[in-house]
Amino acid sequence: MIRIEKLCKVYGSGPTAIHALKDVSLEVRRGEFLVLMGPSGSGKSTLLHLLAGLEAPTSGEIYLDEMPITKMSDDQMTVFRRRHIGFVFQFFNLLPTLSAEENVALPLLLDGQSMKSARPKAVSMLERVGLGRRLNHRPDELSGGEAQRVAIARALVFEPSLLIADEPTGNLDSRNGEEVLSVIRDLARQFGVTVVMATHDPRAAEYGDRIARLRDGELVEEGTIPVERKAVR
Amino acid sequence: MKLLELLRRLSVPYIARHRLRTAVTLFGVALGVAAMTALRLAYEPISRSYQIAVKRLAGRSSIQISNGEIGVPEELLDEVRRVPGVDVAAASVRGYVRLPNHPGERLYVLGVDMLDDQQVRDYGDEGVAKMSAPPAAPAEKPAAGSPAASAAGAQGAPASGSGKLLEVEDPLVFLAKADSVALSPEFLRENHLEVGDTIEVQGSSGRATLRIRGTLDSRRGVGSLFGGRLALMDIFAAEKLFHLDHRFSQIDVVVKPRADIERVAEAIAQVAKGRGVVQAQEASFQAAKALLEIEESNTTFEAFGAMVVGLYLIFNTMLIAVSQRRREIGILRSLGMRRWGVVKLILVEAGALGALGCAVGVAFGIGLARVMSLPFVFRLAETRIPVAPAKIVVDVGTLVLAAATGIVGALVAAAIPAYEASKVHPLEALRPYARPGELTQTADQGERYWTAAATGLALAVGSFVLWLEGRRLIGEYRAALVAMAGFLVGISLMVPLMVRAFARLAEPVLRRSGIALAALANRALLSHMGRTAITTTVFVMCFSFVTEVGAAYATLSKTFDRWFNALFADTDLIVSAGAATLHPTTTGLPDELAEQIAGLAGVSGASALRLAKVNFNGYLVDLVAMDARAQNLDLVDGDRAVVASELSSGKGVAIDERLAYNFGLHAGQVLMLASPRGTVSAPIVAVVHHSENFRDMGAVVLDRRVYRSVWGDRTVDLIEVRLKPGADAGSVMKEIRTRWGDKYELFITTVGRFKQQTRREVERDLAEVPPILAIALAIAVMAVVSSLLAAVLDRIRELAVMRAVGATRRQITALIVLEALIIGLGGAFLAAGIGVAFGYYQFAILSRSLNGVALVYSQPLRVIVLASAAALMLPALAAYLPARQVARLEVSAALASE
Repeated sequence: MIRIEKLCKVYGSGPTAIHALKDVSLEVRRGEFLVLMGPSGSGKSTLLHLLAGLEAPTSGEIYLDEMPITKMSDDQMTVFRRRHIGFVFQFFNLLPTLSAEENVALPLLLDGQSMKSARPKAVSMLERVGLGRRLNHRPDELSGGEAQRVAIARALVFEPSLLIADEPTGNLDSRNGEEVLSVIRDLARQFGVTVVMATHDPRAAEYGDRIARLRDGELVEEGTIPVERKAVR
Repeated sequence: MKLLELLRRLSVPYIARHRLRTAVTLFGVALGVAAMTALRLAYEPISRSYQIAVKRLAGRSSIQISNGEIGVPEELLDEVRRVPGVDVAAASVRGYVRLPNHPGERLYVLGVDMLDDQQVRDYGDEGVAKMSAPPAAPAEKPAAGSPAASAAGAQGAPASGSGKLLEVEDPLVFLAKADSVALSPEFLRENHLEVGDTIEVQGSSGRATLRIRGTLDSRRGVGSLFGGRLALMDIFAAEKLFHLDHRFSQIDVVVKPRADIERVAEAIAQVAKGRGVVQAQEASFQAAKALLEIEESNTTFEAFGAMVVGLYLIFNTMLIAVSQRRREIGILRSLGMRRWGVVKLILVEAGALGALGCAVGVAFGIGLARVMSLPFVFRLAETRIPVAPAKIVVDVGTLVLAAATGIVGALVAAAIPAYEASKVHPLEALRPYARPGELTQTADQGERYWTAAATGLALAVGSFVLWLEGRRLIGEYRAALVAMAGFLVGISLMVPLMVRAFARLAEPVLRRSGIALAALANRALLSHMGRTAITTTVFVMCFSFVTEVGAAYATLSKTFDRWFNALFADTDLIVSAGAATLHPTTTGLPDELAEQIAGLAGVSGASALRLAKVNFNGYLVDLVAMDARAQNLDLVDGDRAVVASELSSGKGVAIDERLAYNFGLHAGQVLMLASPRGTVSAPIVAVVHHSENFRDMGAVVLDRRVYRSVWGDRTVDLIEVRLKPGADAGSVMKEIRTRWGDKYELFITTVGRFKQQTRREVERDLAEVPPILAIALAIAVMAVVSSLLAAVLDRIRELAVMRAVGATRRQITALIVLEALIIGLGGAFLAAGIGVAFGYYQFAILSRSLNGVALVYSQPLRVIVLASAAALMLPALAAYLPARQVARLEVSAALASE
């Protein structure tokens, strides 16, 4: 479903150039939960940004459902991202001026839907993440765990084929972290969404099906997570 | 690290990196400083220059006897000379002449009796006597007061020394010939003339040819007045030139040593018996000074506006700077810098920029002072004594004031941004992205808006009360200025609450409208209400000014129409001498010309109008003498026919509402006017509407036959021609031009064109408005754009998130443009309301109380609609480019900043 071929990303040029990704090739099957691990600066976030089309690779290609996304124009990529890719950030990145419901409805609104038609979907998604009673709360009125669940609802409201999560538990305590990971895994299964998640946390990795390790921009290890180590909750 | 070291290492690089913003800040400081500097520099030198001009023209004299353009009878001179305490009395004739062969040039003629005059005015060490090259034997004694008498006297005067201010080749010829004139070398050089040449001049009596027989030193003494455009000639030749029938313009009196000036003046007044107004020279200077103070007060109001704008620009740029540097400030805080340290850093930065802006402001202010002083110099030239534009001298006091204005202004404007900066939490450096509410206060600030609005309302009401009550204490004019400033600030304080109410009302509408972006834009504005409110306030003030200017134009125009249409109701053609009809410096025409024109084929009648300046209570007021035109008077109240009959039978005079207001007069009272026949008692039979000009002191209207018999003046300024039905205006104009055009240098026009020309004069007073309007619009747009820029910088992460969840660049652009559009929409509504209210207050209420003139208030709907459309569209258009730029942000970089 996702095919990454010889992906390179270089920031800057000359002797000060930083090679964030070096010839990374990878495949992720539809519905698979891939965990990207590696120390800081290993290239995890860069890979996620390239996957989401937030920036362009220096070389290499990314195919989503056999569609080469690096060939798309900015507008095409934006619309593609809106409809087919959900993104969950470490720091939630909810718009502070909008309520939970409005934050979740945002991608639908940006797609031209009215609030009237977007609302039921947003409410339904918030109910799925257990926040049916927090619809009108603003981000500053939510706990960290709740805010991240709103972010997950926002990422899935379009029922995308790919969910990208960048350190989704990095800003949460362990209990809330586990809750968030469970929500991601369960909803991904329900919707048949492919998940690519970057994390430092080995316990978070247990929620995935497969691990890919990066170091200094290179893919150094790839493998499935043994069943006995998988999180069961 | 010391504060200055921080300034050098952090602030200077930041300032250097953001040159445009630094330039805007400097412009803000410079604008305020320039306004204050110009205010200080513009009027003081004119006042000084005017004082010097008055003193040079007055010479040693300390009392003057005059009566505006009417002048004083010749016989008064000898009577004055006999008054105890009078040492010397010298008469003069003064007035402008045009030069037909030198278009655009005019000369101020000073006609004097040379012998008398050198005892009063400064003509150099040797006086007129030095003119005499070869001493000649006295000839037969000519009649006293004649040019020849002057010449004879000159011969007898001592000749010694070398400080010549008046130089002639042959003094005997100069004094003996009535056509002699002395001019400045500069004037001769510029007009390619030399001593011995003749020069054509156009006076009230028609053209005259003068021969240049001398030169005047234009650097010193009398010759230094009028910027070298002074013509010195014999008094009787000048009298003839100006069609003054045995009248002098003025008599100047030198009192004997140790004589009491006031007592001598009283004694002269008793002798004059109203044939002239006796005034100490000082009083004349004080009257001009009062005029100057009014000008200064007007400009103070404009300078106040410039200061507010300057402060706003500094405030906004500093706010942006703080938004951009939150991380840097957070790092400083996390490293141990106290809140007060942050405040100091921002304030010192602002103070340094303020100091830099001062230098620019002072230079700009000097130029501005020159520009500001010119219109007033012209007005003085028209109504009193022409003074050369004064040299602008920058003194220490001005520099101190400029520094204080710039630096203190910058500090005041930077206070709120500095306070905002001090609230930056150290966590913003350690944990760059924190949830809203975690680090900063987001409590509802509604209470603050209510407090501000209540304060504003109190201020506006207080201003009104001050205007009603305070005028007794500080004077009508000052009270009105203070009240208007208070009203303006009061309204400004109310705007934030109105903006919030508008945005809150708009929100459900926008949400329901299905335009998701508009709702988002409105929400963004609501969430940064403080900044939105300040921006909208500036925006509203600028656009309400536009609406108000529209009212000013329409009101003055309608008032002018009322005045003009009433006065020239049935006139077809206007005949005057020179293009500047009814201008104070025009030369008059002999009144028999009206009778001659009336006799032409195609003309059913011609009547004349004389507009003369006369002294009344120490001020120059207009005396309007009309031929059978009383029925055209635009009465404030009363019956036209009755008033017309009373005026034409000489039973009384009418006064205009401005004179009534300035001197507390009303119908039924008796007016005492000076005339060559002595004091004239004139009952006031009616009050008429005034034209739109507030700079004059008012007018007395009377029948021209009465005027001619009492004041003995046969000169007229304007002849109104009425055509027979079917007569061709062009043919009649051609006929008048052929017969008298050259002789009197006539200007003949149709009443329609005359109206246009006069209207242009009215509009000249509003000439400064379009540039101010352009500045106001530019500031309004700049306010919105810079505010949006600050908002965008604050929300760069939010925008990046929006891009990440699927907002296209176009949508981001649209979002920001929509925010500008919402500010424009709210601003347009408020500006229209406030502009109309302020315009009505100013022109319908304040003008009557301030100027005594009931204007025909008019607020054109077209202006409101156009201003509202501009208010709506301009910010959106101006925001487009910055919005597009922001939409191109690097999403991953903006997100990675966490």
